[in-house]
Parts: sequence; structure tokens; C-alpha cells
Amino acid sequence: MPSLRDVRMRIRGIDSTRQITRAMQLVATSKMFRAQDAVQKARPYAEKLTYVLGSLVAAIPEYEDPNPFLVRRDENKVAVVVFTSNRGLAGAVNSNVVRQTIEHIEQLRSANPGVDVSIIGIGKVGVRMLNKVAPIHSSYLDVPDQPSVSDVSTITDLAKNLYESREFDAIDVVFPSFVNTINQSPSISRLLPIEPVEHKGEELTNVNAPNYIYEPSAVSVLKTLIPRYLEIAMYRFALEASASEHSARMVAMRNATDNASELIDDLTLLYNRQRQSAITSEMIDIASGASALSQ
Amino acid sequence: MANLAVELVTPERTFLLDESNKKIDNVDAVITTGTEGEMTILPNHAPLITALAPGLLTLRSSVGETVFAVSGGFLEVNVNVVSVLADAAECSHEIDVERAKAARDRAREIIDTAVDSDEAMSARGALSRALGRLRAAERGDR
Repeated sequence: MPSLRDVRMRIRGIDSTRQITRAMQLVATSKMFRAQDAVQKARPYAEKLTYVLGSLVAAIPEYEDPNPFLVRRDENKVAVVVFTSNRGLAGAVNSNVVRQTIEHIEQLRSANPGVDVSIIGIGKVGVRMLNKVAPIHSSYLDVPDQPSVSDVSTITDLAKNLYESREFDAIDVVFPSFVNTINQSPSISRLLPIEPVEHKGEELTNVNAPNYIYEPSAVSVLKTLIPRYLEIAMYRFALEASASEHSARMVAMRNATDNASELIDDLTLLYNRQRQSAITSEMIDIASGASALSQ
Repeated sequence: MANLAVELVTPERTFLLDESNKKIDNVDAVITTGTEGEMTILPNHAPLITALAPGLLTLRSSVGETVFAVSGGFLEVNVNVVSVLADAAECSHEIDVERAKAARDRAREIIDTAVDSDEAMSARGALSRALGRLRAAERGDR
């Protein structure tokens, strides 16, 4: 049976923990709203850009000057870009991404036993948890909470250069995709080579795309569009990761705060009971003493 | 005569939506800077996709002109809908002239002192963006 003093100390300790988790919850909530807003705002641009890319690819006959970023190669060296957060206490978001990454790497290895997989880690948590699974090619630990296109352009440039220089034959991205505030599921997406684009559920071909005039030419527009497309793809991964992280942290911290409140309620009840029983036994002492004297 | 519907989207936000989030669709002409030079899109233009150079995007309608500074991107025309995909865009009355001037001067300085060509290239890009913004601000004032 803990003493009254012990119970009081525990209540105080839990209360200060609750203050911290509540503050973190509030911070995460405001960051979450901003991040979700950014995800929404980036969507129309990305969709339109993807559509233009698709119609371009469909318009250029395959034999004509194939763009290196669209050409599939034998996948002997694969880089996996992993988006995790820099800080923990964000529910299962990071561990889900890490688990998905490990599964994906195992799949790559079983599909092609000679494959050489490296990791490009974004966020401290992922880098720390994955360095035993595959070699870390490079890591980025300074992506801010509200990433802008230019914040991720160094990562995009790296991916582009690695693919162009044939250091890697394919680049995949694992990131926590933002479904809604309580649901973030890890997803895998192929960044390079660029996969065929779907529009409204079907692949664009030169039959169903409008017969565009390309100024100055489809090949040259494609050439300027691809770097932009990659940048936007990476930007969207970063935005989704950030929205997921803050949503998960908000939920985790809300649960922690609720738990702390519950614990405090239980302990307060215990404290009051003990205090009451202490008072009662004192009263009995006094009463029995008094009655002994009066006899 | 038919009119053009115009949308201007950037990764950060979408411009040119009215209160009910619908595209503006009373534009008579869109004047913009392609990589090959200035071009004007009139209603019933053939489907077109082009890359844009940093510069102005002017929308002319019966009400007047709206000017934007656009820092490169792409333009798509399809059945009287003009979609502009800009890397970044600013409406003329939102432009901070002082900041644009500072950016222009800084870019000029870098071009003059740059040692490697990459640096000069990116400064030249910054310079043309700054000049575009200044021109847009000037045009919008009139």
C-alpha cells in the first residue's frame, strides 16, 4: 500500500508529464493543419503536370530519341529513398515505414539475388533504424517541418544524377502516405525510371490524348518537364511525410494526455480514500480514548 | 465569340478562382512568354503544350487586364481551357517591388563576380525572374 505522500508525488509527476504531452499535442495539431493544407494545395499542380507528362510520353514514338529517364534498365542496383521524421514520439508512423522498407528490400533481393540495394535516408529515425538492413548511401537530416520545393531539390538532384550516371538502375521511394488524420499507411512509389502515367484510370496513349501541338517540340518540352516532374514528385512525398508525421504525433500525444488524465483520476480517488481512512482511524482513536477516559 | 477559361496553378497554390472555386472563364486573350518568344492565345486555339520562359502572363478580358509574373513553367491549351503550370507566380498587385529590386541587384552582382558557370547560370535565372516581377508590377499599376 503506497503512503499518502507517495501517491501525492506520483500525481504530481504524472501531471507534469501531461503538461508536456498536451503542449506537444497542440504544437503537432497546428503543424498538422498546415501540412494537410499544403498537401491539398499541391494536388492540382501535380495532377496537371502528370497529365501533361503522360500526353507527352504518348505523343513521342518510342523509337525517337528515348529520354533516359523513361527507359527501363536491368535492375542490378536499386536505391530506396526512405522518408521518416527527425523526431520520435509520432506513433507507429516511422516504424511502419521502416518495416515496409525492409519488406521491400527483401522482395527486391528475392526477385533478383544479385541486386545491390542502398538506402537514401531522410530523417534521423529511418537512418538509425535501417543502417543494418542495407548500406546508407546518403542521408538528409535537415528537411524542415514545412518543406518547400527548394528544400527537397537537393534530394531530387541527387536521385537524378545517380540515375543518369548509372550508379543506380532504379530509385524507389518509401513514405508514409497521408490518408487522413488517423490513418497513414506506408507506400512504395517508383521515382525512376518514370512509369507510364495513368489519367482517370487509364493509360494515356496517342489515341486518347488530344492532338497537341508542342512548342518548340515534344522532345524538348519533355526534357524541361522531367526535372520539374521529379522535383514535384519528391516535394509531394515530403509533404505527405510531414502531414503524416504531425497527424500521427497529434494522435499519439492526445492518447498520452488522455491516459495521463485517467491515471490522475484513479490516483486521486486512491489518495482521497486513503486520506479518509487515515482520518477515520484517527477519529476512532480519539473517540475510543475519550470513551476510555469517561468511564 | 467564345471565351477562354484560365487556370494558373503552382505547387504552393492555385490562382484565378472566383469565390465558389470555379475557374475564371471570361478571358478574351492570354499573352505569355514561351521559350521561343511571346505568344498570344485566342479562343478556339488548337490544343497546345509549351514550355514557358520567366516573364509576364497577361489575361485580357472585357473588364480589363490582369498581369502575373511567372517564373517559368508550362502552358496547356485544350478546348478553350488554358492551364498554366508555373513554378511560381505572383499577381501584379502582390509583388513587393523593393524586394524584387533587391533580388535584381543581387543577381547582377553575382553574375559580375561569379567564377563558375553554374553560379552564373542560376543567378541569370534569378535575374530574369526579378525583372519579370518588376515588369509585371509596372504593368499592373497602369
